[in-house]
Amino acid sequence: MNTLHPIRIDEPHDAISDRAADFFAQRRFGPWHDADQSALDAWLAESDLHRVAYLRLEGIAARTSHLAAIHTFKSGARSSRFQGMSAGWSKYRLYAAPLLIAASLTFVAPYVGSLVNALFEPPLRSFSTDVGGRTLLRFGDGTEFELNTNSAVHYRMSNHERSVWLDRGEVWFHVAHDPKNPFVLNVGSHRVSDLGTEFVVRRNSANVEVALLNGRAILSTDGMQTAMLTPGDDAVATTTAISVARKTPQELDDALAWRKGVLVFRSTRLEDVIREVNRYSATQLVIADPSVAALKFTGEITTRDFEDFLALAQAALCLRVDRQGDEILISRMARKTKTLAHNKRGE
Amino acid sequence: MSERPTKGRDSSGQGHTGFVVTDDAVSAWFVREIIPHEAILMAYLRHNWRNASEIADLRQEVYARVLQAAREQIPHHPKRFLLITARNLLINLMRHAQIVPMESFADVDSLGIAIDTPEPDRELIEREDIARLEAAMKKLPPRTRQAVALAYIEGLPVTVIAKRMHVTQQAASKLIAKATLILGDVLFDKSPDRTMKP
Repeated sequence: MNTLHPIRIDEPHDAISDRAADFFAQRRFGPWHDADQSALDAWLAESDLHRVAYLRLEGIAARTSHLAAIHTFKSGARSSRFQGMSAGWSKYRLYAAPLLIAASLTFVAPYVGSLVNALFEPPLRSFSTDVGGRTLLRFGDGTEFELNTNSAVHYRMSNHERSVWLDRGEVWFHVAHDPKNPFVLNVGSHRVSDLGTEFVVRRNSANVEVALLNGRAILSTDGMQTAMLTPGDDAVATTTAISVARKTPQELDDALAWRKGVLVFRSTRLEDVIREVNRYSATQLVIADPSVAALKFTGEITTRDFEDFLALAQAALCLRVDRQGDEILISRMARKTKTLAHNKRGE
Repeated sequence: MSERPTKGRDSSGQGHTGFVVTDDAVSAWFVREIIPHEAILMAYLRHNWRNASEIADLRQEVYARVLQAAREQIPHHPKRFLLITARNLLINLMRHAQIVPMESFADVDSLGIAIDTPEPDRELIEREDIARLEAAMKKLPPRTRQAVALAYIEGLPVTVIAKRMHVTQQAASKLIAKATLILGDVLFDKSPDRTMKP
């Protein structure tokens, strides 16, 4: 057993704490050189009281960062309880980490683990969803992104810069307008600059589609072509050209139904339905019979799974469904029925 | 606790020089498993030690002992080990001072601290701590508060913080250091009469 030594009064606790705090702050936030590390090492080696004082600071810092991140994580900017606080805090509030809102279908576990680290990294951050996933990020200025299935963004959101890059997939944006801090979305060589907007952007291999729901935005492609978008505009940009079509409010609503976890189709060709549905699932539907492709489908499908859709399609469109590994083959059921009917007649 | 030499270990140099502090597994364990129980340790010490001015010293002494023991072997139950170490320290100090311990004294559960049952709802604790952090932030002097926000919320380096606050790097670093200590007392020492150092 350790021999008991009385509590040391030769070196007061407060002095040790202060020294540890100075070392800690400098090492964590400040310029830190080899000589500083040597000084710290020497000081730590002097006594375990020094060491635990230092470690305590690390614990406090980790807890503080964690709570700040969790707070950021749980409260929206508009409902922020920090809002009532004086300017010193609220001014620097909440930009650092986005909010992760409940509606995620796949739980993005690594994100939570890295919250603390995230506060100490350079401000370029990234976020992605898996196939079937959906996540809402909310920032301190009121700006929100919602990532649809299999999508990825990286971004730099601060008091001085609001830049986002859409790496893949589809994202809905609601941008709080701030003339002093413009918002720019980069998609490949295309840029969308906001003038206070709500829009949805989808990146395919060949083109970029931007549908504007509210406000105004400027879409430009490499500075060559520029289009001012107004609500209802649905712009498709290739690397060289932009074409803009109009969408009805209902079409826009339908296009955004994924935010509620459903996909809406109105007299949509089955091959288009299936292409859409496949984005949300690892198991892929495959049209095995070309004559099925042109069938029209109207209805709502949950993005969670397409079993309901399959059941519906089987019944309503007389389709045959064969499961083969990760694929579900879709073909006509009609022939079999016909054959049966034919046989019956023949008897 | 096992028998172990108390002298000579430090001079062996093992794990004591030339390494980054938290790269040491024991130190990392300590930050992760022990420091988070500081609130409960403080409650225990306050409950069982009359002289409030010695509580912080006692806490650090307990920590040092836990760290020393962990170098021999990492305890399986960090929280229980922490409180038992605190109890043993208090008993020894009392014996030393020839004070007769109170009956409840040796009882780690005297506070109703259920050390082996699962933690209460983590989310509840966090909500409480966030409220505590908010309250603490409000009470900080404005400059200190700004330093905390820039350092812990924006994650900025001290060079940038100094520029934003129009002070030298040393001054900014001092502010952060002081603020971190205050936050520690606020977050971990939950006795209502002592929310902050003067």
